[in-house]
Amino acid sequence: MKKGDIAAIALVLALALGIFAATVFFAPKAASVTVEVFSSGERIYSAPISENAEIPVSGDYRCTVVIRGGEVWVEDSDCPGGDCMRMGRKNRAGETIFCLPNRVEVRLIGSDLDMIAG
Amino acid sequence: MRTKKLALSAILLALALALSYAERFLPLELVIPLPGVKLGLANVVTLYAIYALDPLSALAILILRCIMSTFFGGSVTSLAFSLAGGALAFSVMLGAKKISALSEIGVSVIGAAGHNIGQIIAAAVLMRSMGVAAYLPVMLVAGIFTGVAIGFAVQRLLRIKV
Repeated sequence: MKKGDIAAIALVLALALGIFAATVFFAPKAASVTVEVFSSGERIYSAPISENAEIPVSGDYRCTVVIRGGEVWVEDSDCPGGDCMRMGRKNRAGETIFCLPNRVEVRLIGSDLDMIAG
Repeated sequence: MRTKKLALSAILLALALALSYAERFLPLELVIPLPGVKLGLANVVTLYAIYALDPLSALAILILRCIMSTFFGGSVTSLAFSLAGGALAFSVMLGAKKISALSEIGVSVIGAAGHNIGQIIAAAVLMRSMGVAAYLPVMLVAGIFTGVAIGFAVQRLLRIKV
């Protein structure tokens, strides 16, 4: 172990903290949250989280994005892996759900700060 | 000498393949729900090859490992991840090796960070979103641990003359 090694570790740690701080800092503390659903980079849905909805997504695979009771989750996905369903229910601005095989992304956006993807 | 190098490269490729296959059974998706994201255990081979062989052989082993591990049930997504992660890890380790203040451990830690950043870049391109960057801090910290462990292992390995 050389001195430079410690510096390298410190550098990576600082980078991790910096990115973490940036994501927390930019995460909007909005009272109302907008849900946006993207399929292959294209926005197919956008509405407040208070609005109950079931959004069928048909990309390479089929899945359903469910918005109910102020929570968002993915149901009935036939994508391999099914990680999107295991990501659970989201309700805070800045949170996201991904389905990589199906190229689906669900973003929860604070309505007063709508440029953030945290 | 050429035969010896060829044999060593083949052994290293086999080892790298075994490691990236074994890595698949680590339930990393529970922490980072991006299928295909890896700890980068096969980086131990890249690092060793950079020191014990030469950059070109190391790169050949890396690319062959990424492609061949796809045959063992990997997806196109995981190929993109391992190529992006592996290529960035390789480049930064090659650069870091030139810094005399760094031992194999420091080079390995930088390589692990490169591996994680490369994977996240691949995910960001695939998702067309920077949102995936939120997973980077967790991955970077985990990478420090794997990086130190791998660097330590390579340091010991290099003392064995082949």
